[in-house]
Amino acid sequence: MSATPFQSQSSPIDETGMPAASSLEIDASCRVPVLFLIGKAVGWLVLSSVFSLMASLKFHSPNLLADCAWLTYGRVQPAQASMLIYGFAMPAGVGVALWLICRLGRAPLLQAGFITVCAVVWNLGVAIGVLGILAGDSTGFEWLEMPRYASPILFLAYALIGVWALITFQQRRERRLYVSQWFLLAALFWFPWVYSTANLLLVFAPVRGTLQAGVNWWYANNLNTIWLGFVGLAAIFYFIPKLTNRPLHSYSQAVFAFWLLALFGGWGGIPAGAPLPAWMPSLSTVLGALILVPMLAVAINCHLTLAGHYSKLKTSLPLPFILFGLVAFILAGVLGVAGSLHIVSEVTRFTWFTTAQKQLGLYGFFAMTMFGAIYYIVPRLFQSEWPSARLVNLHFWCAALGTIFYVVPLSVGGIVEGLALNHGNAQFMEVLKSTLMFLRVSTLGDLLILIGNGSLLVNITLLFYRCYRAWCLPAIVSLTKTEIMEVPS
Amino acid sequence: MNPDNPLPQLTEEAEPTAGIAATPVWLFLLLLVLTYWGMYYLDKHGGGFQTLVYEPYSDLKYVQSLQPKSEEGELLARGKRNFELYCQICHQASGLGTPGQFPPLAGSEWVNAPGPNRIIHIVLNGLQEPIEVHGQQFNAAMVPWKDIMLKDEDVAAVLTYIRQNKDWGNNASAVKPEQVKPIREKLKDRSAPMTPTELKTIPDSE
Ligand code: HEC
Repeated sequence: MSATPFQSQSSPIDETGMPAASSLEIDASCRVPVLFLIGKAVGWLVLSSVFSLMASLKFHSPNLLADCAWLTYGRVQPAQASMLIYGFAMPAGVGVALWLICRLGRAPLLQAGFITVCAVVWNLGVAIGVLGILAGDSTGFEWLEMPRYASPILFLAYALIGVWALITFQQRRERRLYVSQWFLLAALFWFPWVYSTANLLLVFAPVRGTLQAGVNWWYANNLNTIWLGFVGLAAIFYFIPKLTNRPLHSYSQAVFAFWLLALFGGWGGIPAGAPLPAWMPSLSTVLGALILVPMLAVAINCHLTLAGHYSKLKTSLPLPFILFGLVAFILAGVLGVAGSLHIVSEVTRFTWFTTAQKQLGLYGFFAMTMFGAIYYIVPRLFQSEWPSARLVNLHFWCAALGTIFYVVPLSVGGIVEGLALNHGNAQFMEVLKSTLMFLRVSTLGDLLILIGNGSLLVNITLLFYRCYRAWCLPAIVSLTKTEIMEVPS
Repeated sequence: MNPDNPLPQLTEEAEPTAGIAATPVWLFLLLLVLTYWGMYYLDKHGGGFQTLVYEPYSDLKYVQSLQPKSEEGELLARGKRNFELYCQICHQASGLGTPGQFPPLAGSEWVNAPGPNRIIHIVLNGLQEPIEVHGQQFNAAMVPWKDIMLKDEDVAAVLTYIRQNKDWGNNASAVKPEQVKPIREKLKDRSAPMTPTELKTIPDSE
């Protein structure tokens, strides 16, 4: 297989009687909704990094912005998480998923206009939800902080986009399935199920007592392991073979990983020591640990695909992001399994360790994978290369180092903190103060991540502006029939 | 080339395909090993799937052994067991006895006396000759129990049970083994059953 100019690549096979759509045709159909989803997502991403930095600073400068109720830690932190998950991760994931479904099905996106409207509604929901959290209306459940007047909006928008994604998938012209489609389809169905169930059981008709904590863990784990995991893996399985121009090593091994993750991935998440009957956290630990097998299967599969072609990392802009995401996926999984074990959890529970592990999964794995996808997809939708490859590299290094500076000190700090707290006569304040050094380093990580995310925003804005000048300006000019202006070629 | 496109063209690789390599067997074996470990882990930390077992405990018996025990509850449970074993055939589970044959314990002025002295004598040595309970006359014999209930705790327990049985409407003070001990001592050498006339000479306030 060799690189081909991208509009001439259409395969003749087709069982629906419809000719496979060309990449150009598909990208044209995806242009507006996917660019809108991704563009808005990047905006939320940068905003969330700002809030994350603010929250991180408050640990060593507690007086910072403390007089403004809207910007106290208890609101900034959940607002930050909601922006990262519902503002960035999910819309970016949905955008990438739509594009992948169309590309792999060789069919244009259906109802692009309607999907764009739904994307606008989703973003409206996120804005309302985040403002609600800042105003003090948070529900208090981790990752479900959005108040009850925002969550139904998100549910509705997602469900409507999902319907058209499914119909597009159904109308695909390449009937043979590629592995990414398994993951994407499962993820499409998974979110409405877990999101509505969790909101019903926690916010609208709350279950009683400690069961609430159980539902909350169940939801967070499903969103993390299944939804983000599946969308991320779909992108990894798509881009690694694509960017190296090699077939994926094994179809069956990828499907093996899919089924194991789908069967066992959703049960983990209840930490040892949870205020629930002991069998629940224990079962959760055991089933959660079984996902080490699919993770290993994914790692081997990708490695054997890449073997001998790692040099592509130097020439490809998106590949380093994807690979970093893959490594973070495995590491976050291993840390998660380790942290859920009885012996480890006795030390790490209620410490920074959990925060570090979550960040590694959310940012190190998912966000990085999405960046890789974005760096590949967006230029194709704009039909123009990134204005600055340097900014892309800057983004990579800042994000990679930022993740490391965030995750390593916090996991080490968490272990130190946990060991100290388990001492019978530990002085709580003393122990807290001893973690300050780790927190300071993690703030540096936050700052690096902000710089990285900012460079993505700058790059995408420049790209937008360039295309606006190249495509829209001439159109506007000719429409208004003013004198011919100079158009850059 | 697209002539309308004023921007440089991008090149693109073909859509990905997947090879047919089989999933290695050792991955399945690893899954088996992990499942085996999982069973062990569940057995060790799962609390036997009992809803009453929470971290950091792992077994129901141990958890129950840690429960703070009320001495009274313990005494009543033991008393109930003894009653069912020794007294129920005559005095009935309802405590109402059998008219003309076995006197009732429910509502009996003997049972509900301020102190248990007299009924301790009855249970230890048995009873004969006519007795009036609840205005009814009985004249039969009750067997002695001092050679069967060798422990003072057992006597105290069964008497506490009949004196405090709310279902029967009884509500008198509990009986302590220390109250049984001196009476057992006193009656050590006597084999004849007690008589109501004799009992009336013993103060019923203690
Ligand atoms: C074999 C049948 C029998 C058994 C078993 C028996 N009793 Fe009696 N009990 C009697 C009879 C008969 C009387 C009345 C004796 C009399 O007429 O003088 C009596 C009288 C009594 C009385 C006094 C009268 C009253 O009703 O208040 C008490 C108290 C009493 N029994 C307690 C017990 C206890 C406690 C037990 C078990 C340890 C027990 N009995 C077992 C037959 C029995």
